[in-house]
Amino acid sequence: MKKNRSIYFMLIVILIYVVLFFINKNLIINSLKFFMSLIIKIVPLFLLILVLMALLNYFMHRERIERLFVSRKGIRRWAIIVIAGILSSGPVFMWFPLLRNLRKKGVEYGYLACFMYGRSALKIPLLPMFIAYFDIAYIVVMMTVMIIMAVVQGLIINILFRKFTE
Amino acid sequence: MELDYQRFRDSFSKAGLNLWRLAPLLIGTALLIALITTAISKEAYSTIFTNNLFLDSFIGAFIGSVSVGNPLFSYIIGGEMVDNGIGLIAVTAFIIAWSTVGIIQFPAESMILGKRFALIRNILGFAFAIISAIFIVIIINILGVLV
Repeated sequence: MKKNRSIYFMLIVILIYVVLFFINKNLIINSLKFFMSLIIKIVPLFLLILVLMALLNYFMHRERIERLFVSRKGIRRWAIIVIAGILSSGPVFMWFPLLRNLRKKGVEYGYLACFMYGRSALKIPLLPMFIAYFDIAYIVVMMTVMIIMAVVQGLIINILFRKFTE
Repeated sequence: MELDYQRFRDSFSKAGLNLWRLAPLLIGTALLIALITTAISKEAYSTIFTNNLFLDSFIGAFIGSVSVGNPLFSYIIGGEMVDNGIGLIAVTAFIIAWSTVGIIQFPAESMILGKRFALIRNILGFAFAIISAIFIVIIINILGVLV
């Protein structure tokens, strides 16, 4: 289903190109030149992304992540949860059932939010693409701020939910 | 630690399949970026992004929040936005909101993890995208001055 939708999206864009070709030929020729330069820039990076994704799939499976959530206390716990988030792979909704299980086991909402934010802070397999477009200094600053924000968001959500349950 | 070859192979094929599924989306997105970049002049962007710290980060975060897809696309689109002269603050807010705010996954998130949690998390995600973008650009500017 998901695959079909992606193909439909691509076909619609191709159709737009075909229609516009008859209206403005130059625009489409220039767009295709730009498209080719973009593809040449990003496609080689996919090999590296594939290897990194495979390694993360191998080492960071669900059971390991689940253990990390309850293995430590205090600041260490926050740090481990952010790292677990960073190292987790796949779409976020794939992790919802695991997060619900953790919640049922008594893990507070803030830790779940921290994990989800950590996932967004840094995607190791996608780093080659990020580096292709942005400066390393910018990426490092962005990741650092987002890791801090992951913990801040977790703390705020924990405080809010503790107030709700009072 | 012993290597589990079967699991290693499975990890590779899973990653390969994920990337293969992304291919039509990637081609479609690259075609759209190419078309928009060629059709819209760089000056036109200045009518939307006015170099106002808060407004630009708000617009960037809003566009990122309603956008759907792998964060990979946000890097490509964000990179092209910078090349088109859009300010770093708007692009940063856009990239952060793309991956931290999930309008499309909201129904699933609220059903599985609770409506209140999903709502608070997404609102905070949006606010944090703006705050983080402002922080990041300030830090980058300070570092730029120091270097």
